Amino acid sequence: MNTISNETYVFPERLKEIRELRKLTQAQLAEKSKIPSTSISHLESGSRKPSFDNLRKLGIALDVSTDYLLGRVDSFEGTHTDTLFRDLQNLTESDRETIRRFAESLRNK
Amino acid sequence: MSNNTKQHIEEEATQIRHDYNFRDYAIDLFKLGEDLGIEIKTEAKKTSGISGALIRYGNNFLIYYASSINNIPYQRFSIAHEFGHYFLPAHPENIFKDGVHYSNAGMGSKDPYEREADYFSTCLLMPKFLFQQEMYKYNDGMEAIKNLANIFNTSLTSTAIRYIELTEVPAMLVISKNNIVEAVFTTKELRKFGKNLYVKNNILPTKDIFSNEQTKKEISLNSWIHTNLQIKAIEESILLGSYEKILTVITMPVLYQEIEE
Repeated sequence: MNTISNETYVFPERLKEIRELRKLTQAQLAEKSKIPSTSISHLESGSRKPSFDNLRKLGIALDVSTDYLLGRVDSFEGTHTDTLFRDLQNLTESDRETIRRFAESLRNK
Repeated sequence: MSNNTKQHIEEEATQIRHDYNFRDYAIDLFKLGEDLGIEIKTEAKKTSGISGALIRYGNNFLIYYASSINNIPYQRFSIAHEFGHYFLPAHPENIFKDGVHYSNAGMGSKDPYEREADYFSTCLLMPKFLFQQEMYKYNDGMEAIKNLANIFNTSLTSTAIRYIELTEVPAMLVISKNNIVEAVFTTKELRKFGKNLYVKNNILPTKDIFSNEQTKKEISLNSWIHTNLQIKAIEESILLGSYEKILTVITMPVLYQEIEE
């Protein structure tokens, strides 16, 4: 399975770039995002991969979208929708419709 | 597993219980969602192909879980699985750019990310430190499993798997359906007696067991294990009505070391 995309490599650079743009030290970002300072350092060096929880906290603390941090969009506010399924092979048309509606409700939040 | 080891996943789940101050054995997943600002929703349906999904738009998240199977422990496992995708490192990069993510379609449980999320679910619902505190308060085998399932509000199957993973007693779990073996789990202590007679997809001797019925009998260990030792073991089986699955738990009243002596 090959899931490593270019996004993986963009994230550490983008995190550092936006942190510096916001004039925050790693320690200040740690305090603001409630992510331990050592984790921020590992995330910036690329030795640790982010979770959605990390991305969300960093996105809120740095006032930037998760998608920008992941390298999926080039503007700070750009967003995409993602859905992760369990038992994907069993996805029915009705499930697809339900997920679509829930995704829509998130978008309108 | 991909990059997240079992030990890391256990630590991550334990840390989350600690950070969000969950002290109850049966963690309140809806409260965790509330604390995180993640809605957990379902929809009334007669059938559903998937058990759950994690949906993201920007920094907003929602967990969907199927409620067509009217079984709270099963639903809890599905919700905790989605929290696994949310909390585990490297899961975001498993998602493609084009909106809905279809990576690894058809691979089922062989997908390492799904397996990681399953293990996270196990650890969040039944943390090792709490499970081990409780597991020896009951007689080994089905009595312990049933009580633990009740304490943690988890399914008998997931509790039995966790029990075999953590217990120090010689024990074996066989999950079968229509006499076909679906999975076999053994403890390190049991493996000292010999190799399993049955593995996945083997056919078992027919069992006469009825819905919600539980059987318990003394058997010879060599009906489950390759061994020349003539020793007795306890075999307990239960039929899980809605899934037509049989859980069989074999426990030994003695340790291998005691027999050697």
